[in-house]
Amino acid sequence: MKPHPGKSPAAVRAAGWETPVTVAELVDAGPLTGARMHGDGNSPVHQVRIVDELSVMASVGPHTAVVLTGSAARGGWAVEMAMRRAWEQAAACVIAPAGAASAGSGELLAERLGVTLVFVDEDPLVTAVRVASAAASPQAARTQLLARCATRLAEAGTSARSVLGVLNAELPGTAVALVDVHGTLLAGRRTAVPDAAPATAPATAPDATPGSTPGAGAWKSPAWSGAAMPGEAPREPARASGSGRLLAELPVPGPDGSVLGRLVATGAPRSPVWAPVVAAVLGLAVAPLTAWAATERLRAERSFAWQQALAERLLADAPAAPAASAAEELPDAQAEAAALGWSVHGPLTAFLLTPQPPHTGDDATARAALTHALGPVPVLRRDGGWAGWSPHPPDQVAQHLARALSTLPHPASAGVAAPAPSPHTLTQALLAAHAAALVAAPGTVARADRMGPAELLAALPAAVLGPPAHVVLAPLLEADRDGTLLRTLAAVLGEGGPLRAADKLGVHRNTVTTRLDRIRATGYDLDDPATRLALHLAVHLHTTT
Amino acid sequence: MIGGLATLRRATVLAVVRDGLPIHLSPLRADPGSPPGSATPTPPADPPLDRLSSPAVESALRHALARAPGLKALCLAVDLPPGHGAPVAAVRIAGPCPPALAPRLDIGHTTAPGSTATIIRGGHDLTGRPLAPLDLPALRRFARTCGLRDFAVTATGSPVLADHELQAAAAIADEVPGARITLSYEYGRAGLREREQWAIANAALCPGASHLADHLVRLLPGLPLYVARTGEGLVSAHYFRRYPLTCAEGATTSLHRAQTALAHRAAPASPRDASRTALTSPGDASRTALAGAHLAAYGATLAVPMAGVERIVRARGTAELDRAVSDAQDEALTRVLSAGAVPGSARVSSVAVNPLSYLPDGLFRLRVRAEGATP
Amino acid sequence: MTNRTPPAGIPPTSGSPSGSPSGSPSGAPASGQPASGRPRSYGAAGPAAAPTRIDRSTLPAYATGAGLLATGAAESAFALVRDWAHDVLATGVTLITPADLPPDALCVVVTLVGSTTALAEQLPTGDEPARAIHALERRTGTPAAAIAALNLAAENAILPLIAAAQLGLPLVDGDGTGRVFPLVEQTTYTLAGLSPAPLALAGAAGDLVLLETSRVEGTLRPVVLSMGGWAVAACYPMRADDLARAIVPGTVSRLLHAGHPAAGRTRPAGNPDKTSATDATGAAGGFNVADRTLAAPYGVSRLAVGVITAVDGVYHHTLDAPATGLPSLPSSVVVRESDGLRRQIRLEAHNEFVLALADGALAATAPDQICLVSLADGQVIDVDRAEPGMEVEVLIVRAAPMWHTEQGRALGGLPAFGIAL
Repeated sequence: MKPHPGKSPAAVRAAGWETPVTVAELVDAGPLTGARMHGDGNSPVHQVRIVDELSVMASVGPHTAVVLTGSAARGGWAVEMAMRRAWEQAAACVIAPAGAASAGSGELLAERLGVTLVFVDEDPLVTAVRVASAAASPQAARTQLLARCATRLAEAGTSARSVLGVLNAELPGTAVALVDVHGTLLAGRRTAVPDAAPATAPATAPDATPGSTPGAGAWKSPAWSGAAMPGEAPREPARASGSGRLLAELPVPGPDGSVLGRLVATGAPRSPVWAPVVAAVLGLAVAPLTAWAATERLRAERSFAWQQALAERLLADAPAAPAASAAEELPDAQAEAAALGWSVHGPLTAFLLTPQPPHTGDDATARAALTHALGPVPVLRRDGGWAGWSPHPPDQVAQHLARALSTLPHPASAGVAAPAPSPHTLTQALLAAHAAALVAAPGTVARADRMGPAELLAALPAAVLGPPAHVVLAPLLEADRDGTLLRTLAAVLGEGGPLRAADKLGVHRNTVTTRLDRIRATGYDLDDPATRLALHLAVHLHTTT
Repeated sequence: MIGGLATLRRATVLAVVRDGLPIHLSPLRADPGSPPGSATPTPPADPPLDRLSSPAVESALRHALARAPGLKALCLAVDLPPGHGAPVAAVRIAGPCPPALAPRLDIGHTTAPGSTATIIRGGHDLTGRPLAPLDLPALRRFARTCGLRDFAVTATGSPVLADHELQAAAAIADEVPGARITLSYEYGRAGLREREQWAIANAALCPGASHLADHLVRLLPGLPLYVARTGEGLVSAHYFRRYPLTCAEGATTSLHRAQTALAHRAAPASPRDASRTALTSPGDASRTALAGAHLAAYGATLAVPMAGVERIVRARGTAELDRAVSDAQDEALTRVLSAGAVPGSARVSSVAVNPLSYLPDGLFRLRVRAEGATP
Repeated sequence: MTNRTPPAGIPPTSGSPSGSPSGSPSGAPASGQPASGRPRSYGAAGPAAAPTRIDRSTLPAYATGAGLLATGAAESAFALVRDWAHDVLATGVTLITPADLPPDALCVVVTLVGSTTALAEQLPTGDEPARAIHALERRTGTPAAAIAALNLAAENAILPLIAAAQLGLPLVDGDGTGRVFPLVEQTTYTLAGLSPAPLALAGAAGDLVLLETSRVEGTLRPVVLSMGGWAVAACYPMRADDLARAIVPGTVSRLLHAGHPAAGRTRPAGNPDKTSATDATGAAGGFNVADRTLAAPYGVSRLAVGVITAVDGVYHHTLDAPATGLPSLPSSVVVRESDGLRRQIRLEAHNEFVLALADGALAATAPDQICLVSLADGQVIDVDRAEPGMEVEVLIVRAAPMWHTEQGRALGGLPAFGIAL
C-alpha cells in the first residue's frame, strides 16, 4: 500500500504550514477553541496586541489580533469602538472578554465592517499569550494540533465512533465523517457528506479488492466516489450543500489492504493551508480505523453466530424503499459490515452452497471455504446450506464457488443468483441462488440466470421417473439392440434437429433420416410435441441412470 | 433608490425616491373616513405595529415593493404614540431625596400600570469619585422580585463615569435573563432626573419598538431598514430597538423635513401635489392625513444615519482634553455605524466643548455628532 | 474689602423686643411674630394689607421671574429646585423687609455654592438648608430670624425660599447683588463691610463644614468640590439693621411681579427705573425686553440680535494658563449681528459673560450684566450651552449703583475677573 499524504512526517510538514494562522483556525482548532466567533475569521494573524485603552489602537498594524482588556473592554460601546478602530487599522480581529457588554452591536459591526469579533471566557492576557505564540509560529501551532489529536486518538481506542468523535471535537467548525466506498455514512457527522453525487465523479473506482480479478473494478459502478487515489493530489473539493467545502478525503484501508471506506471532512476553508492541516489530522485517524476493522474481523472469525446475526440484521434492515427512519440503526450495522469488509451496496451477487445430502457438514468449515474463495463475505445458514453475497459479478462468484466446492470435505453443489441491484432485493436473490443450487449437480455451480433445458433436465429426480421413462421407451428399446436409435433420438431432440444431430453423431444426414424413419416405424409420432417432450425426458433419464 | 414608509394615524404611504426625487407614491392604507366636512371623531391612537401588520397593508406593501426592485434601503417614519408603553422597572442609583424628587413613572412617554421604581445606594460625583459602593444585593433583590423585563437604570454621575450603571446592567441581566435594559448614560446629559425620565420612557418603548422592527425585518428580508429620528437623521433597526425614544416623533419630524425641503428647493412634483391636495381640501381629514403621510414618507428618505455622544469629562490639560474629544469622536463614529451608516461614509459632523461653570478647572461638557450615508 | 467681625454678639431674637416690625413699604402691619421662636406667619390681615407671601400658587410666577435674567432656567437643576420648593411650600413664606425685624435679629443669607450641573446630578437629600442654618445658629448662639438671598439667579432665588419654608422663617425682599456674580464675596453685603464667614456648608452626602476664614473664596472651592461639587451655604450672619443698609431692596417682589403671566401687558405705571429697551419685539418664550425690564431694577438694554458663529478654541489656549483664582475657566462667544451694522460681538466669559466687544469696541462690561438670550425659547443661555448657529439677543442689564463705585468696580468689575483693559 502506498503511504497516505497525511501519514508520513514529511507530509505533515507540508509546504505552506508556515503560512500565518487565521482567526478561524485559532477558534476552530487553536488556542481560542470554544470561543464565540462573529464574522468569517478569514484574516491571517501576524501578531497580537493587548489593548487596555483605546488610544493604543492608533498604533495597531494590519493583521493584528487585538485583545481587549481593562478599560478598553469595559463600557457599553468599548467593544464596538475597538471594532471600528480595528477596521480602520485593518486588524485581523478583536478578541474581547465574554462579559463585555455589547448588546448585539458588536456582532452587527462584525458583519458590517468585516472585522471578526471573538468573545473568550478566559483571562484576556492568557488568551493573548496563546494567540501570540500561535501567530509567531504557525507551523508549531498546527503541529501542536496534530500532536493533540494524536494523543486523544490514542486515548479514544479503536472504535469508529470514538475516533470520529475525537476528530469532530478537535476540529470544531469542520464536520468529519467515515463513509464507505459508496458514500454511505458509517460514523461521524452527516453534514460532512456531500449529499449528491458530483457530476465529475471519476468513472473508475479504485481497485476495490486487490485479491480479486481485475475486472471487478470496471464492472462496479459505485453510487458515489470522490476519493483521491493514494498519492494523488486531492481534486478540487466539491461544493457541499450548505455546510461548507469539502476540505479533505482520505481512503481508509482495511486490514487486508482493501479499501474499507473514506474519511471526509467538510467545512469553511479557514485558511489557505487549512485543508492540508485537516488532511493531516484525518491521516492520524487512518491507522486506528484500520485497527478497528481488524478487531471486528477477528471477532467475526471467532464467532459464526455473531457475523450471521449481523448479516441477518443487514438483510432485515435493508428497507424496501430507502427511508430516513432507519437512519438511526443502519449506520451501526453498516459500519460493522464495512469493518468486516462486507459490501452492503448493489449490485450484489447472492450465492448458496448446499451440501449433499443437505444439513451435513459444519458452519466453520463451510465459512472458511467460502471466505477463502470469495474474500470477506457474510455466511449465514439457509435452506440446509450456507448463503451469502459478494460484490463481485456472478461469473467470478461461480468460478470461486467451484473452487470452494472442491475444498469441502463432503459433496456439495452451489447456486449463484443474478446480480441484485440493491441490498433490499438480496432476499429474493438468495431464493434464486437456492433454486440454482437445487438444479446443480453435485460438485457443480449453477447460475440462476443461466438455467436452460439441460439444467432443468439435470434436476429431474431420476429414481422416481426412471420406471415411467422405461415404459415410454420400451417399444424403441426393443427394436434398438445396439442403442443406435436411442443415441440418434437423443441427439436429434437435444440438438434441435437432424442436421445438427448428424454433425454431433458424425454420420451422414441421410443416415439420421433413415434411423428416424425406423423410430417412427416402432409407433412414435415424432411430429407430435407431446410425444417429443415425453421422449426427450425419457431419453434424458434413461441416459443418466 | 431608497424607500420611505410613513405610517400616520390615518394613512400609511410608501414613497420610492431616486436621487432625492419621488418616483412612486403608493398609499397603503388611507382611512376611508367619512364624507368631507363631517366631524369625525379622532380615531384612537393605535400603535404603528397594528397598522403595519394589517393584512391589507402588508400585501399592499409587498406589491408596491415588487414594483421597485432596485430599492437599497427602507426608511420608516413613525410617531410612537403615548399610552402604549410597557411597564418599566426603574432603578435609580443615588442617595435618598425628598419625595418630590423621587423617580417618576407617570410623565413623558408614559409607562404602563405595574411600573415600579427603587432607589439603590451608589453612584459617583462629577469628579468620578464613588459616593457609595453600589448596593448590588439590594439591586439583585429588586430585579428578581419586580416581575418585569424592561429596566431603566440611572446612576448619579453616569455622564462622567458609567461604571455603576454597567455593573447594575450585568447584575440585572444575570437575575432576569432576557431583560431589556436602558442605561441613562447613553443619553449622556447631566441632570439625573432628566436622564432618568429619558431612560424610563425609552425602556417603556423598547418592547413595542422591537416588535415593530421584527415585523418589518421579517416582512422585508434582506432590505436594510432605517427609522427616522426625532429632530434629524436616521438610525438602523438595530439602533431603533435599543433607543426607540430617539425616534418617538420620527413621522412628525419627517413631515416637517419634507415641507422644508419643498419650500427651499425646486420641489419634486408628487409631494408638492400631495401637499397642495391637503391644503385645498381642508375639510377632508383622510385626504389631509394621506398628504401628511406622503410628506413624511418622502421626508424620511431625505435624512442620513446620525448619532451623537454627550458626556462630561475631566481634563487637566490640553492633551487630556484632546484625548477626551478624540474618544468622544470615536464613540460617535462607532455609534453612527451601529445606526446604519455605510462604514466608509461615517464622519464627525459637529463637536462642541464647553467648560462647566462654577466647577473647578477641567470639567467639560462634550457633544459630538456623527453622520454617514445609507447604502 | 473689609472683613467685618461675624455677628457673634448679635442678641438673640428671643431677647429682642417682640412686636411688629414697622415701616414695610406697603405699610402692612406685619404683626404676629411670636415673642420667641420663629414666626410661622405674619398673621391674618385684611386682603389689601396682607403681606406678600410666596406659596404654591405664586411659586410659578416667582420661578419665571427668576429665570428672566438668569441662565439655567431651562436646566434640570432649576426644575429640581422648583419641584422641591413646591413640596415644602404648603403654608407659604412671608416676604418682609429688614426693617420689619428687630435691628439685632439674626439674618442669614442662604445660597447654592458650586455647580448647578452637580446639583442636578447629585440630588439633595432635602435637609441641607436646615443643617447649614442650624450650624450657623449653633456657632453664633442665636436663632435665625429671617432668611435672605445672596442673589436671585434661578436656583438662588428659590433656595432661600425653601430654607425659609422649612424653618418657618420669613424671607427678606431683596438680595445681595441685584444681578449675579460668581463669587460668594462679590456682594453688596461685602461692599457694606460684612463678611460671609462664618459660613456653614451642608452637602448631599451628609457633610457639614463650618468655615471661619478671611479667605472664604479660596477655601470654599476645594471644600465644595470635595463635597461633590455643590452645597447649600448659610453665610453672612448679620443683624437686621446691617442687612437693611447692605441689601439691594425689593428684588424678590420684583421677580414675583415680572414673572406674572400678565406682567408684560399690565406694566405698572410707576415703573421706577429707566429703561433703554426701545423696540420690545415679541421674542419667543413669551418674554420681551420689556418683561425683562420688570425684573431688572436699574434697566436693560439690547446690544444686538444675531447668530452665534463661534464658541470653539478658547479652552485650548487658556486651559494650561495659570489659575486665576476663579472657579471654572474663561471662554468666549462670538455673535454676528443679523441686522443693522452687522457687527461682530465678542463676549468674554468667566463663568459669567463679563465683557462685550462690538467690532472690537468696548460695549459693556462687568459689573453690568451681559445676558445671552436664545430667540428660540426665550431662555438665557449659559456659557456652557452656547452653540454655533444659535439665534440670540445680547442684553445688557445695568448693575445697582453701589457696583458703579470705585469699590464696587474693584469687587465686581473686570479686574475681579482677571481681565485688564
